Amino acid sequence: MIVGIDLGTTNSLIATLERGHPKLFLGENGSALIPSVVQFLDGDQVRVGSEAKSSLNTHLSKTIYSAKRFMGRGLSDVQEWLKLLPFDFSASTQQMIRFKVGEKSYTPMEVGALVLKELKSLAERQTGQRVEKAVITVPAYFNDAQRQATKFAGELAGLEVVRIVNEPTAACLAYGLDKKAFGNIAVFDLGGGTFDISILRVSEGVFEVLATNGNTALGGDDFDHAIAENLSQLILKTTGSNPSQNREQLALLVIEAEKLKRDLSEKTSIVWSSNLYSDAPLEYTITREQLENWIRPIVEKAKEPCLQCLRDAGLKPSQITDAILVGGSTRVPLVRKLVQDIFQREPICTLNPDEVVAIGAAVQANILSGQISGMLLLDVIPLTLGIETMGGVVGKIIHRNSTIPISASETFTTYVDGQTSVDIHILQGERELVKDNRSLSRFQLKGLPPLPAGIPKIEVEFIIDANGILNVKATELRTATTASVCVNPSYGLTDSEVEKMLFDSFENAEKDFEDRFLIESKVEAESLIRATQKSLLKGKSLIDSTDLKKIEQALLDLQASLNETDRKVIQSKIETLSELTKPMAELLLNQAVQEALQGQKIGETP
Amino acid sequence: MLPKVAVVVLHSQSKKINCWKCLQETLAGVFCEHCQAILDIPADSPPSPFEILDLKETLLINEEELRAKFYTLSKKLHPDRFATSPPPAPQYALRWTTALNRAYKTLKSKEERTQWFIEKHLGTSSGEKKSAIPTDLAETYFEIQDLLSEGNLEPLLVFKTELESQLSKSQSQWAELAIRFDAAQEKLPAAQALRAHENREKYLRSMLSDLERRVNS
Repeated sequence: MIVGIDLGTTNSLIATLERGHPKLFLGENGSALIPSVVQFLDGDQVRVGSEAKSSLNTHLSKTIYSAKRFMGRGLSDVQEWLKLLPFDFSASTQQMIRFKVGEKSYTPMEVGALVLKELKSLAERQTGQRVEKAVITVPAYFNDAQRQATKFAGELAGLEVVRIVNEPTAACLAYGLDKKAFGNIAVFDLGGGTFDISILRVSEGVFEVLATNGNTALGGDDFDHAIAENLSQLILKTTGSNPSQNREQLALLVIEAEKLKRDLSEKTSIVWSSNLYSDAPLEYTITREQLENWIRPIVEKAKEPCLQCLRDAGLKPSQITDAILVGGSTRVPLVRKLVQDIFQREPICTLNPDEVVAIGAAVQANILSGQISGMLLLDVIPLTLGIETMGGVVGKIIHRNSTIPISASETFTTYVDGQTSVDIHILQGERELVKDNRSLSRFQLKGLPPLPAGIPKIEVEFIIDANGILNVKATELRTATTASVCVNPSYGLTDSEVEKMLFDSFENAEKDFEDRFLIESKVEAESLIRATQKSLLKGKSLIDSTDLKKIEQALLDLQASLNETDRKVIQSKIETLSELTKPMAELLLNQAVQEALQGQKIGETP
Repeated sequence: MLPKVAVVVLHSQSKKINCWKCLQETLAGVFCEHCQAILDIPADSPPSPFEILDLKETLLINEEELRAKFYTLSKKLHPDRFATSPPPAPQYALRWTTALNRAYKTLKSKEERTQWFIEKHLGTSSGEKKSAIPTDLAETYFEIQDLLSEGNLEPLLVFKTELESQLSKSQSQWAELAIRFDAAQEKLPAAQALRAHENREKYLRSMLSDLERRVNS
């Protein structure tokens, strides 16, 4: 039996298909939602799930939750979160975070593995069968490191992870099981910690992802924190002390904020009371409108990724057949309103938005085991892949939203005469310049024959398999010199980087273009200077002295213009110089042809 | 689990190979004629996008037909279909699907498809210098540059409308050229006309986006 698992930020679920019908395994308390909460008790005892969540208040220092936020991420990536959560962290390197609990410490992968183990044993107890293989879902915007960390957590829990599937895509598969999905489907997936938007075309059992976008640091948790922050302002006004200054008090307030959010999704106003923050119990009337004002700036962040996704899919909102809601946070009325506004139709959630991803994972598990043959998922890469070229500009090789598996190649050349090796620097992201994208890996192609600049032909091939793992191969075509690397990074893009880079790529498109043009002009100028100097050595004697003077002056002018920040200045000097050197170049060419006919080398001319 | 499907034959692959599974001689297609095992993709003569998608080699295509073929082939060739098959079938499925996805990407985009034909008939443009300003656009180009350097925005909006209408005209010209290209016996001049058209349109696009960026900032 291959199971489907939704390893969530707040809750996790495990599902399978029984004679083609989805079945969710229920936890101790009768709910399929197993809180992703792990408690480390004395004597190496571990408590996972609803029991751990309900005793959170009394065991705060021994409890780890929201571990998914830290999966595959470095300390520097999660500074914002460290401030908000009541955990103690340690980090031996920048790449690996550990949660400190008493004397011991645990990686996010280990915490995830404990949750997965709990789910696994749940299914085993209820079916009496061994569970050894699983399809696990991740946010579509998870990068390589985060995917690998999730896979590793599965292995730690004793599961063979046969596929990592994107959450929104899985949700669409779940709707497809009952043939409820057809046409152009927008899947709006707002969970506890991440936001994904995917647009699929569903036809004849094929689920083709047309485009995907998202924000990997946007979720219901952020609502809770914003609400807690506003509640603590209210408390500050009444009592003069601010609970958000105290990490433990803030953590408790966040739990209450979460409850308040749920209640105000049902009702339009509520009396909120608490005796945790002062001697006398505090009481406030909070309206839905008030709460919506607190969370509106966060909800609005989901808008631009949706619009970009529509553009990438080449669709207008009116061409969307259905908008599907996924993730517990889509229960918030303000979120539903946003979805309705963007896609101009009432969103659907006929399947439980908390359960639909796990069911979809079970569907993919059955596709892979051959039990379902009428459905096929065609997924995409979320971010563009490319390599560094001259001047720090990115040469894009595989564009985002390309269906995987896929391969593509580009041909590049050398820049310096006699160059015998080239550095291949692999990048991920949408921006024009290397420094603004994420570096994935570097390797070197060595042993090139020393040839003049621009002569070698170096083909760089990117190959992405069905699991999204990238292989890169570089070949010098004239001599068939080859080097390759499997990009299997210990840590790739961090979510905040993915999100920031995408955001920046729209914000900075203008500046990027200018930067890129400027660099290209400089590179062009430098190679023209070199070429002119080279041909002057041989061609001086072929032209008269006034022309020579003009060329030399233009050469100096161009050299001086290299410090310019206006590309047009450089461009005009380039044009002047190339115009002036044209006759000389022709003379040199004729000479070279004649010499070649006579079997003479250029160096031998008197 | 082998899909029960008709054997896909690549038109250019008339040569025979021995199937890795049943060892019988078969046409070098996607599946063995006898046992229907998936074959390796021919490395020495890679099939063209049109061959892979089993479409007639024309510049104008029916997008619905293209997508239908892509879906049908994906269902037959995707590695997910071979997840439980013993090696080397999953590897061959991966190679075919990689080529299929690449081919689909090339053919579904009008620009990439046009470029594919240009390169087929005129070779790759790697040695080509940056294309000069198309003569009919030169005057507009310099006028815009002047206005931009003067910071004179009002008349620029007129040029923007002008460029937009030129672009949409250019796009409808593509359809005419494509019909002529597909009908041409002699493909070379038709391909040259296409290349000139694509270069001009590229120039129009970059002028327009340049103008838009400047006006917006």
